[in-house]
Amino acid sequence: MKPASFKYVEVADEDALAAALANYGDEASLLAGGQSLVPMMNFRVVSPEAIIDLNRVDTLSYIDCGEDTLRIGALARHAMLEDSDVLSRRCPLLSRAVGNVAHRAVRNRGTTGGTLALAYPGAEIPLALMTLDADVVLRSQREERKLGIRDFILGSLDTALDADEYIRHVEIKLPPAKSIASFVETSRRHGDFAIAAAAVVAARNDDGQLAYLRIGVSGGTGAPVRMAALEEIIIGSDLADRVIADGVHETIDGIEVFGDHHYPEDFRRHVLQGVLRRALNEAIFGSEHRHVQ
Amino acid sequence: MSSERIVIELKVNGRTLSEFAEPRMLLSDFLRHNLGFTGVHVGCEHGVCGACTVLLDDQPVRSCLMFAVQARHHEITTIEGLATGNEMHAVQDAFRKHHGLQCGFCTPGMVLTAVDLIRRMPDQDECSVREGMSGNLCRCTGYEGIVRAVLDAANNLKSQPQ
Amino acid sequence: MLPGDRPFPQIEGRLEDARLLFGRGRYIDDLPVATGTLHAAFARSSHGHAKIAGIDKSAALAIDGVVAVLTAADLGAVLDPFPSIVRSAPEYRGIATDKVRYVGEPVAIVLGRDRYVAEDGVSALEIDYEALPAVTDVDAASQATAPLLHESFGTNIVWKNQYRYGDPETAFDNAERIVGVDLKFPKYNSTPLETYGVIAEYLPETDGYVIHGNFQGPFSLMPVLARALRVPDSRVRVIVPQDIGGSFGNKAMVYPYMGLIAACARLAERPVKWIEDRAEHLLGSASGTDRNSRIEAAISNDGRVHAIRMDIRENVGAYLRAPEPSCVMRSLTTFSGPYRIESGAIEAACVLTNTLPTGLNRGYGGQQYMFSLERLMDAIARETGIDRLEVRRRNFLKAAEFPYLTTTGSYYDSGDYDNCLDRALEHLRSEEWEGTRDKLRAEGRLVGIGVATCVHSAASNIGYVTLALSPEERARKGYNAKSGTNDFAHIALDPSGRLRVQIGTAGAGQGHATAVAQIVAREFGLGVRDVDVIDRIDTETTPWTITTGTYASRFSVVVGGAVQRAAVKLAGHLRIIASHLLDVPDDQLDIADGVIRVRNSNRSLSLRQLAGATQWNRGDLPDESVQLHVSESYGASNLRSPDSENRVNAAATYGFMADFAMVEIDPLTFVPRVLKYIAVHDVGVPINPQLIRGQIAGGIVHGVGGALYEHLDYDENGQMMSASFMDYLCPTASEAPEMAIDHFDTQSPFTALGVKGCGENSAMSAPAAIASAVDDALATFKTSISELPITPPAIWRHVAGAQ
Repeated sequence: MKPASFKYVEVADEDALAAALANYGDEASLLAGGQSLVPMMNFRVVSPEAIIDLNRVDTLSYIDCGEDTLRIGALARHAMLEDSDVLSRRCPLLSRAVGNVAHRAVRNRGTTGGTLALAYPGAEIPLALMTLDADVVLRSQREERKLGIRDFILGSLDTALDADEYIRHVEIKLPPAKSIASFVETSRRHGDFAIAAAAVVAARNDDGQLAYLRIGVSGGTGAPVRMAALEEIIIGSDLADRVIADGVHETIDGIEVFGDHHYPEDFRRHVLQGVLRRALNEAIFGSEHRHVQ
Repeated sequence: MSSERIVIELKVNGRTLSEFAEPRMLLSDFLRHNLGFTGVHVGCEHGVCGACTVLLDDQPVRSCLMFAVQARHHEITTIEGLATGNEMHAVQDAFRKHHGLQCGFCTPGMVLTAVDLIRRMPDQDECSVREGMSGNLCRCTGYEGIVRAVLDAANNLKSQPQ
Repeated sequence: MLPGDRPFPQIEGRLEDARLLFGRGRYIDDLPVATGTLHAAFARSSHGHAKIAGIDKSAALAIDGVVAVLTAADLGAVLDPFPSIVRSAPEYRGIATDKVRYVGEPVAIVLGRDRYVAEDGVSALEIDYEALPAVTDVDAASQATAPLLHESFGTNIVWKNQYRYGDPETAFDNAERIVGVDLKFPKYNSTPLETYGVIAEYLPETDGYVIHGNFQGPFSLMPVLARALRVPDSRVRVIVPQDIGGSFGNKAMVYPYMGLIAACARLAERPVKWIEDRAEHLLGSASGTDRNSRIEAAISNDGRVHAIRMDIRENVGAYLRAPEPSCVMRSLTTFSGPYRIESGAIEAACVLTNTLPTGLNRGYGGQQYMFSLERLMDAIARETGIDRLEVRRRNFLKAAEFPYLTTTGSYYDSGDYDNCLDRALEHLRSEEWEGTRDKLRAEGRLVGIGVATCVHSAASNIGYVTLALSPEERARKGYNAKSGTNDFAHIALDPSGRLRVQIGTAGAGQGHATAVAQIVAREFGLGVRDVDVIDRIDTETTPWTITTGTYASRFSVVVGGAVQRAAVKLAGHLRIIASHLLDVPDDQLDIADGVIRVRNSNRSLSLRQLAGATQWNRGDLPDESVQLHVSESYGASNLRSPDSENRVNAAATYGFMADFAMVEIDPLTFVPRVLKYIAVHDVGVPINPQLIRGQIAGGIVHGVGGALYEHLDYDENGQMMSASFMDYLCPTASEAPEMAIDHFDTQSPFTALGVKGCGENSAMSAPAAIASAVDDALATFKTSISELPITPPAIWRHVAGAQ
């Protein structure tokens, strides 16, 4: 499976990148990690006229962890996130999410910007970013703008990225220092895209009360879904098992879930509940109910 | 319909080599057909099977998911560059000893993946080896010999003075 | 001690390893090609069933670098249909003519200066389809109202036959109980990691072809190829590369592509090369059959089975192509498995559907049938309340009964099924499987243990293929019977005194060269590395038979047998020559440690000395016909053509496997995992335990794949829903279970080395063992697995259905 021809444009800095995008618009695809784009090109599912290779734009490759804000450059490789000590301490949800992305060879090339721009429905990093309510900073020759992630990921494989824009970085308001993160995914084999995944970050205040809770799910949901209603139900509750179970059931029932040939809708709903309950247990109570998976 | 060929200069197994190719030529094909490194094997061209794995600046990557032109400015190691003359790398030797290969088609990618796995995480157990090697498919061995080989190599390399 | 009593010398690793580990394997895509070779890319159908209204080649031909676009109309000038075993079957050309009948069917071939440009040509082709209704389910396709794949054939039931052994009617009439199950076995493919490859050239000066292909045999397909190419068999030279990246039966079916690419080379007047890509492989290579079946047993209340009744509906895909319908026959010749079942009635039909045509796939009917028989045994256990192992034991053939002639004519050479099962149980106990299961269950986890006990036939008798015909058809004048399995080996002592063995196996990683070196080394008392083995097939220079090839687990029996015979014969020749050089009778000479010694003396000759004396001074020695090189053939014993009652000994030897699987199912996500696997096999005599272990480990994972992960899954429109490795799920190291692999061997009295084959092994039994384990894991839901693969949604349906 060989790709069709294209004009190859290599850019070395952000100005050149913006200029190339302005020039080619939707005739070009951006090549970052290539772990999703190149297979699609090999299958000739996509055959862009031009490829803009931005792998040399070093200014986009960083992890910058401040007091309460984390910035990750669009070209930061998944492996960089995986290996980052500071990330595992300050934003463990992202650390745990990235470890589930495919396999190391893919993580050596795949990037935060790339996975966000694709918005593949089973993808781990978009789920983590949605759960953390990240902001996405976009730039073109026209302007620089910031979108909340809910306004950026519109659905499965659908984002608000304009044809002449690139992602600069994502910004995350860091969770409290003592938060516990859980990322639970179910898939057929190790490293596969998730059939269902749940991301939870929880933190208690000094009185031991649950004070901070962020919940997100994906897998048949189109875009990843931030479960804000469930957060409210749980935070205001006595954390009884019944309350959590009912809340999970009710809120999962309330979101849109798409079935397909392999995994019907009601199966997906059932499994979404399962992974969500596991993730909640782990993050809120610190207990691990995960079995062999 | 095809584009102009450009010069692609790469460093492979320590040598600087250069050949013409179109931008769309995959790194796997360029290494195999333009440069003669037929030890790079192509099993799927969609980045799943891992047979085409090479080291790019010491990190494993799927060469079927890169264009040759992207590999300029980088150093590549293929299976042909792992041994020192006729002396096998510890990982190659472990594969030989533990029957970690049968048809040999997945082997170059397996071995290079294992080299990186052990280098990054010298402490391995059966579970971490299975997980670390799960990005490389094998249809012959049932992974038994491969897991034993990687574990053995990890133990040997750990006990060697650095 | 006679050479044949010595143990086989062993080495660490294999002779093949060095080149493969250094990345110096020579697979088909590594071979240098002649300047001017064109590269082929296939345009393939995107429809499951459609008329081809038109093909516009113009845009493709306009592309710089595209040299030709060939369709069936063009190829028909030099290529005929490939003959089928069933003469009346609809014609199969390997490329669509007026209709496409499966997604992935070749429609046109573009020849270009490289593969990239050829694919540009494919993209530029304009092909008009008029969609037709498709049918992909075997039972739906059998209905009179189903869309017809081949209108002139009038039905999608392309072949059927029935077989009756013993007296099943009486057994069923008198049965104390009848137990039956309806089953569905899925369509999947062993997907060797290396895909098909062909490099072909036409030689106008001889009207012949040279075709390089990673073809594993059986070479009974050579006449099929030659007939399609309209040349005598001797004018098709097939060269198999030294290295093949896995075959597992799948690479038998590269032959239609060898024909197509050869025909392209003839029309283009240039050599043509084609390397299949993975997308093509999943859509357009071959797969095992999927099978809907009902199997019933007439039993006594104590669980003993007196007769089997079976109805098989086999999906062979869009065309019945050679060697089908052999997938069906292989099962039915061992329908009694390891059990004493003296009567059977089998009705079998092969049905055409809008899916990928089938062929050999590791097990080749074995896994389909063993699934049926072993699910039936578990059902008998459930319905009678007898323990699953006990019910099997009550039916097992006992060690004292061998050799045992089954009611189908299969002549089981040796076995000790009880002790083999006991050995497996020892592992189960020492690893505390039951304790582990109970402990995990107490934690709320769903865990089960399953069993499968199966006979592994090996080295098949080509005669069994003719069971496709009725006895009346076989009795007709002019019919040519078929039987046997044979191969050659050539062995020589080279001028320097080094032994060199030549075999032709089309091996794909099984370690044939190493095993052969061990056999020869044993005979001469040498080290394994003292023997050179050339394992390559060039039909022009390698002696081959119609049964040559690596399939049906035949290597150690047939090629091993030929090598053993050749080694013994050469040793005899060396003794004769040495007797002249040493002036003693040859029966006073022993060969050991690579030296020929006079018994009870210190006089000896090294192989090097003998070789030197013979090569340089042969004229002075008598017995001119005794040479330093020997060719021997081996034909397995007891293999006749089928008789008028459809009885045939389908294989040279019959091994056995006792397998246990432990499976866990996640109660919230329904994801199944095989945690552990025990396989205890009877391989007769192990030549190389490490190689055997590797084969079994690989077979187990193929079986795990078929049970849980791998499925060539078509929707009702004939679209293939697992058309890439993203959706076609091969097990990785994480899904492979921990394995305990052991042996309980009973030597074969019939094979030259006492060996039995073991190449297919648990690929055939694991799906049954895993289904058995899932039943146990879901026991509280009182459900039973009758369909594979056992996916999370399938499990959820069982569980939800029970609640």
